[in-house]
Amino acid sequence: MRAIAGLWSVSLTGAGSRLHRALLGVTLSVGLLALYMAFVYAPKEATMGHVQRIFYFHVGAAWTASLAFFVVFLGSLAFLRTQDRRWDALALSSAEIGVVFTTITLATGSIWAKPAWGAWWTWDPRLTTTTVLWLIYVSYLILRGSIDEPDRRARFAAVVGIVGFVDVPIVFLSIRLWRTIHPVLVKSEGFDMAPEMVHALLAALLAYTLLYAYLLLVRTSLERRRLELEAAKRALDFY
Amino acid sequence: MGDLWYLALAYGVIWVVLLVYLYSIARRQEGLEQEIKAVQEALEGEPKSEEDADEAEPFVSLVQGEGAPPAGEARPEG
Repeated sequence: MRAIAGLWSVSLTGAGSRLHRALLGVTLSVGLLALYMAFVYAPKEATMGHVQRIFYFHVGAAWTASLAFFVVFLGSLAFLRTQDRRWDALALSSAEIGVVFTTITLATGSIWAKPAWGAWWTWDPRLTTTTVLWLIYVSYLILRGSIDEPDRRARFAAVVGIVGFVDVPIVFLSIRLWRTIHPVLVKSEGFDMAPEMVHALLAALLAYTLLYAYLLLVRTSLERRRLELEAAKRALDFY
Repeated sequence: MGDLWYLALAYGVIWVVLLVYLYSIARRQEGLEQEIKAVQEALEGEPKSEEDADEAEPFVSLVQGEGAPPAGEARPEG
């Protein structure tokens, strides 16, 4: 509850608080709708039963993580081109959120794997490349914490943010490039599932995308405020 | 274990991870507010001269949430 209250406080005190509140309202509404569709609207899967319902938010988290790392890639490129620290703040914020969603992807995938494959974990190409992706961006965050000089830190992080993105298409293509036991969601003839399941999946994708946008807005506002304070302190010789 | 148990575990993990992240943002927000308060308190002390007070004014506005300081003065070093 305290975390929610704290987040609400971030929303109210950050720049563009009306946009924050509006986006939070839409995100919560669509999130509730997506939960309803995943648990009630979508039919029970014939073979796997209720466990299949994990899939809606597992795929949603994977999609959001890829989107977040794409934003890191764009923010890093823009920073190297302009040297504007606001791009670096955007990349950092998105990397952090991307790691959160990759953690959810790995955890929910592992929980789904136990009843489906009989093991919590297997070194399948999709699982392995996703783990590598998680490690790349955790390293990105650790690297940032280990360099004191702000401009050097931003430059190094931007390079990792650009190079690290190479793994995202590899994760996506891994189930097509290598032999894998991971299910293939989209086949040449379209989605391989009932229409209600496709609707529930699309609702989950939308809910997660909105949640990402909201978290990015809050986290970037916080980071920009911190940059402004650091600059003010430096200018005042506060250190 | 039944399939509902795995379903509950998966959604429980999603909520826990998201709440931990929200909590970490809230903690950092609290820390930032404290730092702003410290700078504000330092700036509220008696300025040594009129020139010092003029130089500090944009940053007093910043920490009081009245807007950013002039771009040239607030830019980080380096």
